[in-house]
Amino acid sequence: MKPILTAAIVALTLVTVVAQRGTAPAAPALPPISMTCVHHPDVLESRPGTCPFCKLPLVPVRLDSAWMCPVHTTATESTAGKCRICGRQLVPVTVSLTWTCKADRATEHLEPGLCADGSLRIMRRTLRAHGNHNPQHGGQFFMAPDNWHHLEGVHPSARIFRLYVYDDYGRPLPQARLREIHARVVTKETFDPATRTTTELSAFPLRAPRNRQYLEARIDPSTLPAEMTAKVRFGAGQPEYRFDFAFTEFSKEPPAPARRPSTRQPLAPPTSPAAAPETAPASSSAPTVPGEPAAPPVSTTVPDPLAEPIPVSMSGMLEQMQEREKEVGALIARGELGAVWVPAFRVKDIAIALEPHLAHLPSAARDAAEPALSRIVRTAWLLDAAGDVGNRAQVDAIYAAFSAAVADALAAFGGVR
Amino acid sequence: MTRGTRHALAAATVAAIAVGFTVEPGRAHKPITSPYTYNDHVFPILRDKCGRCHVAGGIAPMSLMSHAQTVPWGESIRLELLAAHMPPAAVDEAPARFRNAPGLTPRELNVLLTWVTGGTPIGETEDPPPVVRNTAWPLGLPDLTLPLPGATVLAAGERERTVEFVVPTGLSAPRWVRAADLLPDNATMVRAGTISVRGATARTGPERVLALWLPGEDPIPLDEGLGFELPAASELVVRVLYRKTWEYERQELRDRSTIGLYFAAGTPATVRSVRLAPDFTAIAAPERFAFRRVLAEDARVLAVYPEIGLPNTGVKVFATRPDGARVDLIAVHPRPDWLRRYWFREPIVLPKGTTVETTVLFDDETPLMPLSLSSPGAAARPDLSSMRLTLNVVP
Repeated sequence: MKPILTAAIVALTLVTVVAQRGTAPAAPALPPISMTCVHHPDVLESRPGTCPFCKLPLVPVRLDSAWMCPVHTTATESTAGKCRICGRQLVPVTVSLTWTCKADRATEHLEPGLCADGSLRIMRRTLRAHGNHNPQHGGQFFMAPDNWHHLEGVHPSARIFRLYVYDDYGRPLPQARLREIHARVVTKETFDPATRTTTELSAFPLRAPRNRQYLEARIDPSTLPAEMTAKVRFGAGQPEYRFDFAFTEFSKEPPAPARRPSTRQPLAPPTSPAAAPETAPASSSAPTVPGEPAAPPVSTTVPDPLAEPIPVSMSGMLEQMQEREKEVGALIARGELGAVWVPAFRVKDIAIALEPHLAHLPSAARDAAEPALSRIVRTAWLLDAAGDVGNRAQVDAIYAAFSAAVADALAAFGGVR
Repeated sequence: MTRGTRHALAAATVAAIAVGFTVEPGRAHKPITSPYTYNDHVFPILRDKCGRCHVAGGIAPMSLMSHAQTVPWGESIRLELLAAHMPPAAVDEAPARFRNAPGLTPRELNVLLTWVTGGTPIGETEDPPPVVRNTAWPLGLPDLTLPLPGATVLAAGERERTVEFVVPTGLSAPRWVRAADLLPDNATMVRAGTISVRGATARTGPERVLALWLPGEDPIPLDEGLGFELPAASELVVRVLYRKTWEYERQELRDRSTIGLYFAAGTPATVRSVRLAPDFTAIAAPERFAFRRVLAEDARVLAVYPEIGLPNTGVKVFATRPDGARVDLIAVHPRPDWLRRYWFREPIVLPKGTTVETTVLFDDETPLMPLSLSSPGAAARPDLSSMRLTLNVVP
């Protein structure tokens, strides 16, 4: 018993000393420890276990809320305010808290305390990645431009439009937060290009029904296909964002999952390209481009729609580029904005595969082709970003630039088919 | 077991758990989906295309020369690339036509965007060697060095200032200059510079602007047999934009840069300027503005540069030869403070009677930008009529 007692006293003394020196500035209470997967940060459990996706052991993480500049991720603060670098309004984010020492920044601790040299450990906030971008109620899902809120528009019947609002983990906002949102759904509007003004002809307020985790509006009876726009302000003083929804049929609530292994929502079945974003655009492109490194395996149940190889022949590449460009247009026309990145990235991959062929073009054709390929790459990524946030007008504008770039590339390379 | 023993054991257990958690923490990060890694793919691009400014001691507010330094700027990099703000002052069309049109190739652009959105992995290979900023004259020691007459101090509370210096050359006979350069004494605050020969600027005449200096850009020397005329006893007017980045807020910075001149041999052909500016013939429409000038003499066009930059504004210049043939010269978005002289790889021959037309276009790319880059409301429309361009020509 004596050795145990001695060890206990030593340990207790250590803890007391650390507590006295390490918490001298009266640190606030720490957020609780959760268990997560190193590869699937959207998996969150309250107790140790294994990841339901990759089966690796879960590791502890301390999650907290913070305020971050939407552009400068180094500007992260504990309270709301403006970015110290650019002055933009900070947006709420979820971070993991760790503590490090100057002498050994690679080692992260889950507690504040003292370093070997007696200095206080430095707190580090690490932004948590987004998890689930799938619709949860059979509707259309977008991410808000503030990179934190996520929305799902649902049109279950001719007179009802619902808007589910989630946080960055796809968790529904509580009623109190829903009531802070000012939103309406616009079913008819006109746009005057001369004055660049929009006039709403039919708009209906979105309100939070009692004991429901969504906003709802009773609208004039719609006919399918129906297009409607949610205009949402997430709080007083916040900018208003627009989200353009298109419904070819009434939304149907998916059947409840047989098992819910974690806080992560089950993936939507890959019945349409709209489900594809789960693979993340960045899993993308390059893997199928000859000479490029293969993408690391992504643990997901959704097949990668970009796994199709790029044609070897010039004519094959140009034909596929043309087809996929049309596919982008068709998806936009159907309002499937969240899916446009799939064919857009395919066009981008072909553009990159065409780059080595620039050297074989006559100088005039090369002058046109090289910037066209760059514009394809850039506008494909812009389409991906705009499709995520569901802004139809922006997607249309980018698509026009994307199409023009594709047309220029096809014309420049057409002579060498 | 006594009450005291139980308390001690409980404390030991708590301590053990606490120690256990500090041993193997959870490292939260984005899922790694990028096949490109910093060490293998991203670093070479950043070093070659961005490393002159984004290096320790450079003008950029952050170094991108190591994985640890670059990762925090991932989202910022993504937005700058999508907006085509970086690399700055790239041309919109036909980059191969120019000697100095820095830009990313389609593949490079895709590598960077894939990496910043795909978890910013570092890679398995060794870290790249440290990059040290070059502090020497890029073209070698100049024939004549002229320190600026005095030091400029940006006080702790001052962010930027433009200072104009008059620098006597002390030349007793005319000389011709094949290149002019500026070597900052403190590269963290010298943001842009113009080196000119003092005197009034004519619509057509010997070119007085010897250099439009930008950080990270080597001067382009004129080919043999060409030179900028520098009269005897002439003075240089050196205008320097000093600007601090946020990294040096509340710090006093001091600079005394040096001008370097590289002389051409003998008496070469003098480079002349042909200014293009709106006049009463200009065509104005709500979103575009066009003006033209007919060349009075045969000309070989060596370079073109905008004299001012307007935000959200595109400029296209093309020539129509007397036989009706159209020659595209340049398409560019001249951003304020990033004015560059674009040197053609091969001179463009334009015979007498050629019409050079400039179209200034209010940027229609604004609706394309990610919302986090655009300010609420319509972008302010600049005064398009204030655009000026200069062609550098020799007969």
